[in-house]
Amino acid sequence: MSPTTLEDAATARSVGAVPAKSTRSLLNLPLEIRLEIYKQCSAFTLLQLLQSTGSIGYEISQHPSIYKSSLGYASQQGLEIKPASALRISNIHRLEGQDELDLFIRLYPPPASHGTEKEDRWLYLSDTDNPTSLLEVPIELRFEIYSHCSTFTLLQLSQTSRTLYYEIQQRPTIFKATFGYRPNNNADLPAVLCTMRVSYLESWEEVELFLKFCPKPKEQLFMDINTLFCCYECPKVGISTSPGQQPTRVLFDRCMKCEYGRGGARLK
Amino acid sequence: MATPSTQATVKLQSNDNVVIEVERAIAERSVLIKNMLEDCGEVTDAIPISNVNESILRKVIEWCEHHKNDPVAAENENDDSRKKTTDIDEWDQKFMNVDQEMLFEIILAANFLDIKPLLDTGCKTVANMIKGKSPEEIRKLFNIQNDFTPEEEEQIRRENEWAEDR
Repeated sequence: MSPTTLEDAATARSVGAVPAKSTRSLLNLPLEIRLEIYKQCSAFTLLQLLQSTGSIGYEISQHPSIYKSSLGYASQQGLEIKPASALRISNIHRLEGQDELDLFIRLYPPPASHGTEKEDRWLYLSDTDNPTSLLEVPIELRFEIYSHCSTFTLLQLSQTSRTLYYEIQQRPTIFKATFGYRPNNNADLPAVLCTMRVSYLESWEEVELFLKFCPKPKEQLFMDINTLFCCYECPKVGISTSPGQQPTRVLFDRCMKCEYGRGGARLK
Repeated sequence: MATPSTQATVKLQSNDNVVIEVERAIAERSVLIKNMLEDCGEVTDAIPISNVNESILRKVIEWCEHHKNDPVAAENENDDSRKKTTDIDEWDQKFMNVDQEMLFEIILAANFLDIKPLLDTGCKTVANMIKGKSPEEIRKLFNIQNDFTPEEEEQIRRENEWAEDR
């Protein structure tokens, strides 16, 4: 009988294309070959595979080293994600190609507000290989850029948009490791990157910006912070905030970066 | 295991199908290519660099040529030792003096080809671009839309009030 509809025709073609007695499938391949295949997949593709059958899902979940090194995977540092080892949609921060973008849009339609107030995820995701903006750079490379910024620079960056604000504020491990970070002595307070966490500035231009940015009258601020001190080897400027201490002209003669060399050091 | 090769040059093929012949020592600044050559031994065909176009590949090769005699960082070198400074040498500063799109493409290519010193230089360049700029200036620099609500802006202002007990 000849096919009568397009669907019938498609079924006939697909039935004809697969040998009836073929037992070759992904699941019949040796495990090590499947793992090799998974290594070639993007995080989003792995997520789709993970949801395809229980055995594949279990297999991928049991190999976090594979999905954590896949293209487009980003861990969620600072956030409590349980179970910690599971690959989930919140870990997907980059798609590979138009096909994945189409699938993503089909599976996860944009929110109604998409357009003027995009959800963070929509700003994170990018399928472009020609980034023209910082937000189009893959998130793992943005973290790489952040690791080279000083605390004050990162603070300025975090104030530019909601996406960058949450991206930076939700990852204390990143901003706590920046040069010029002042540890929070009160362990009860949540780790927030704010003016009070800045202990060093990169130059006198940054001091001016800091004074402009800090929402307090300059005279009052100078009283509170005791003094600004300058490293004699580089243009870095320190801020001392010891309460009750008399202002002194110079507290340290070298900044921590010059004192401890290239690797820098955290302030005690 | 492949036998070690004494091949002097290798061919690299950009994603727009341009083949560029470079000295092996220069190409091996890329850990990706170095590992590939070690695994395969003699390679006569052009190695496809699928994520990088010709202009960026030439730019990356130019960087590798200039830095071909630099000491290669040990694999177990602490990541922190290559960070925490935004100092860039003069040649690299000139090399990175390109438009933003190309800068980001160089960073992506360095990441793909696994050339950590070039990745560091690119990231430091971006960090230096941000340095000393207010949020408004950074928005202009990177074409970032200010999507904070007035309530969120107020929250940020409160977070940044100067208080001794924080």
